[in-house]
Amino acid sequence: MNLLRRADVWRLAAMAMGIVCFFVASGHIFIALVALGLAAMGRMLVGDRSDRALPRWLLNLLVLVASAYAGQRSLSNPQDTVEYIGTLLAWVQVVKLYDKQTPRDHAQLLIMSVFTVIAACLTSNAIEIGVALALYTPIALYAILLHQVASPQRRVRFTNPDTPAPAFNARSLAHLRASVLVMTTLGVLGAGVVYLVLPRGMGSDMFSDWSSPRAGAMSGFTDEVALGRPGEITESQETVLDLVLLDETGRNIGSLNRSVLLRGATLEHYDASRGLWRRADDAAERSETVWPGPGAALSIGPSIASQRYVQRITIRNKQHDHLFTMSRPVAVAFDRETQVRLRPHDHVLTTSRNGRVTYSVESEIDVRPSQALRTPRLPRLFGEGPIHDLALEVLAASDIERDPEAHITRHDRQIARIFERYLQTEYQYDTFLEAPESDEDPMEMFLFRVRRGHCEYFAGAMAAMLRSVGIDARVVTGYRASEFNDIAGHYTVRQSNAHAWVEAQVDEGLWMTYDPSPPEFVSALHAPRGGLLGRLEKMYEAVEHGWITWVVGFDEQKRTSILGLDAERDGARFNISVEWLYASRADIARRLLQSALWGVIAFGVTALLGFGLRFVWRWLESVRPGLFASLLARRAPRSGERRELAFYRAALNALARAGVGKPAWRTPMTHADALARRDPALASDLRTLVELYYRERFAGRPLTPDEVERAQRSLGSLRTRLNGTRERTR
Amino acid sequence: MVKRRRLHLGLPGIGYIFVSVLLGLGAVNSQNNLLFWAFGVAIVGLLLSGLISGAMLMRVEAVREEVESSSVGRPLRIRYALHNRARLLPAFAITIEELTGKGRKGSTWAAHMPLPRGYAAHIAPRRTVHAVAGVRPTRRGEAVFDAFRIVSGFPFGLFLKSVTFIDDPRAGARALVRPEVRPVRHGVVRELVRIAGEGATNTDSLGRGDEFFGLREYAPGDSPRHIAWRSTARTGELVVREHVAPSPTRVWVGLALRSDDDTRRERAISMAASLLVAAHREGVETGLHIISEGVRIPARTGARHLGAMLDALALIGADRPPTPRRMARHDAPKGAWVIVHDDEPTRAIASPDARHVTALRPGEVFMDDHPDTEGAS
Repeated sequence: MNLLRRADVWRLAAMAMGIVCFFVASGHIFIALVALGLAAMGRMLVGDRSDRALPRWLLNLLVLVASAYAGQRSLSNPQDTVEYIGTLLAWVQVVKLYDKQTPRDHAQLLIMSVFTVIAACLTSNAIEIGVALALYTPIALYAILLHQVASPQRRVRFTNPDTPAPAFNARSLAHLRASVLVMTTLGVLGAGVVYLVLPRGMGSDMFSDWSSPRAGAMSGFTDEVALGRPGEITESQETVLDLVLLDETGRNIGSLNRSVLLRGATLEHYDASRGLWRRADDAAERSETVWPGPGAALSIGPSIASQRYVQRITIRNKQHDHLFTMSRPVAVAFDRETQVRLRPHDHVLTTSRNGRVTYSVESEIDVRPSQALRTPRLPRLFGEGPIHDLALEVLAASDIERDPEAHITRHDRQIARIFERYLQTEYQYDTFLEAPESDEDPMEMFLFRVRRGHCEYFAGAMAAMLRSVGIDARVVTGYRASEFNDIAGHYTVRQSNAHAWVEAQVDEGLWMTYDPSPPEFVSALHAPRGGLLGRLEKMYEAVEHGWITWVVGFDEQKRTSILGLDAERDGARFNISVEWLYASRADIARRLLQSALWGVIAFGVTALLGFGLRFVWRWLESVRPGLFASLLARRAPRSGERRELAFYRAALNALARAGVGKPAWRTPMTHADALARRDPALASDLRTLVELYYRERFAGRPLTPDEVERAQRSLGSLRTRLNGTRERTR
Repeated sequence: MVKRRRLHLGLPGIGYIFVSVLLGLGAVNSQNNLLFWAFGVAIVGLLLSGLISGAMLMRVEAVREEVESSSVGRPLRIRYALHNRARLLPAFAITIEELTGKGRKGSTWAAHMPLPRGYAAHIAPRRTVHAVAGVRPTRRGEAVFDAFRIVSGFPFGLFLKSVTFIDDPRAGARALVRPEVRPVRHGVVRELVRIAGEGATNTDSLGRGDEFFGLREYAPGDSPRHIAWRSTARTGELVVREHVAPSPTRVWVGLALRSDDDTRRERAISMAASLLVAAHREGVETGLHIISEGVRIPARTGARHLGAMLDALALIGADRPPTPRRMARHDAPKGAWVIVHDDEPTRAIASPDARHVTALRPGEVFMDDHPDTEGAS
């Protein structure tokens, strides 16, 4: 395989890898296969045969249509702009394989391939993309180096056909491969240094949150519990989030025997007409900005309990507002600047950040009443009816009576336990459920007719029973983290781990957690897969967790820890700098920085526009020759040159661009004679222009309007012929 | 030889820096660690590109070994030797380009040919490779090469680094570009040879012709075939017959340049060169008289002689513009004369039996009757 052929093969490999990488990142594997098929077909059909290329107008039309589609989709979904741009780049590469290929086209394809991979990085941070990136880097590097060696050879052979092809033997190839190896190693090491040295957290979202890369599957979590819907709850094994559970001292306290309930949303309102538990819309919220960096956790609640639990959580692809916390959060920290909202009455955290979200939260499990945590009383539900009757019946069996108008009684903790046990023992767990009959309340269907259901029915029923006797209770949705990975020391939380349970206010400000679902069924449902496959899966997830922790979720805290910096001292300094940048008193600094950065972007956009205009200009000129000839003729002349003679200068420039420029020693008319051998019509156009030039320049006779028009026509015709010649040459 | 190095930041480099800045901004804005990684790779790529191309090129020594002479429209080859002094670092993708205006005297090749450009794809450490730049000259004359450079954008093409080698002013390479030689009509040469043959006379020296020269005494070694038996019988001593040498067939090409028109002058020179080459191929002796320059090269045979005549044509007007001169009639050596004019023929400048052709009507001489004599650049 010769050098040029080898360069072609590796360029195509890099392109294919980039396209696959992007479509895998955006979750469209089928489209990746289609694109690869079309690319292979283009390569086979056209290849280096320019005569087999599709017409240029058709290719331009395809690119324009794809661009218009991407632009329209970007405008309607701005948060997915990067994905649309990546898709456009991938398809443009495929389309270009049906076009004529020049060294410049080869370079463009390589550049587009690199941009496609960058778009993939912006679309997803999943480990598959990391692996693809690790494979892509040496392939692309090899393709680029081969292009750099082959491309000048093509150019030299094009301009100087008598220059013999240089030798490039097996030894040359070995040296090139060694260069790739050395450069890849140096690149990885150097990039690692840059990666470690660059501070994290500063300047995040300065240009709005335009990119929210995901690192895995979407959540199966929902902040509404619609009990009326028939069907089966998800058993998907897609990983949703990773949880590392620590105590106050930083010791990992996760274990195979411990399961953790991660609260996502609390649902206080019940819509009987739809059988729907939902959040209170009118709840007060407090919004805070959390700055990144060590020691920059936001305190969000009073500290009452003696023990704290620290959870480090990475949600791989957050598509809703909710953050998950164990029990009541008291402090939260993020890897980047984050606007977080807190609802004080139920201690639920939300943020509008999407994609991968990594945060650390400290929680307390309340065991004592506290005035500081006192919340307004919830409205009583099911004050009468079969659920209320059932609740009274269950209480009567335990010889307990409760005043429904009382806010808190001394029996409330016991009542909650009784209801929890009642549901756990008297009802069956089932992941599948049929629809209720018309006008039948789904919870009544669960409690009195079918007597089986999944966690949402159990939680909904218990909350309803508690509310019917006057105890404040709410349904909580989130995840039950029970699959502990003892290799990596973290919990893997999957979509199938989505769970619902109940919180009840059993004392003043004391909300306690109850899970009325039968524990043996829940444990079985959430049990990790065993056997060799389970072990392999666990190992893979350990690697994935390492990827998410140390690459995707690498933050300022980890950076300072690796570099051995004093976290407290440097953290404080970092916080000062962050505050200085972002606090209102330093607003001007932020604006200055933003202005500078916007300036860079504006420069780039202007340059791109310039290139775009140039492209349009040349395209219009190719389809409508002479369209701009009059404009060119009116361009500012050189000093000492009459305005009307600009056409002559334009003709010389056009000839020079086409590679048939007039040598300084040759007279214009002689040059026209010389060109006659190559293209008599071209020479004829040039002769016309030269005659007019002579007349004006030497005879001193100004051109008449007719002659000026004739010159413009000849100039347009000359350009068209030169463009045609150039196309044929390419 | 003087070496100068230079860094050229082109559009790809500016684009790369711009994209790197955007990557950095994107990483800071999104806090996406893969973008931080990509930004790191971009920075390292920039550093590697500058360092590798610089280190690679600075260790390459280049010498222009030879410049072949050629004629207009025929490939002219310039050979270079490139030696990589580095112990470990191979050199890749090196383009060699001749330069103008760098030396003390200044090069003149640009007036005679497009840019000569050679290429070496790879030079192993401590090895030498030979590269060739091929180019087709477009105008006759003496081309001086006094500086060239080696350029490389390896590894990423972000920066072009170049090292310029400037020759010692006295050691600048030269190449003679001879006039274009085009196929000549068969009839023209045949007629010239015929005329030359008709006018052939005997010389006054001994030779192997048919004409009798004289008798002399036999000397050992003489061929018995040359013994004049009748005279021997008459004198009683062996005598041998001697012959005169025949006059060779000679074609003389005269070149009369009077016009200011560059095209016509060059066409006339090309016609003269083509006639000389065609006559040489017929095996006759050829001579050249450049009337306007007062240069006369006696009629001879042989490739070297032909080369000398073409060189003389190549150098017409090299130092001074041609001045019209008149050739004295008694000055014309024997043989068939063809006078090439760049204007309307002036028959008075040569003997009456000389044939006259003009650049105004090239079809009289050239097979391909086309006005273009120099080829498109």
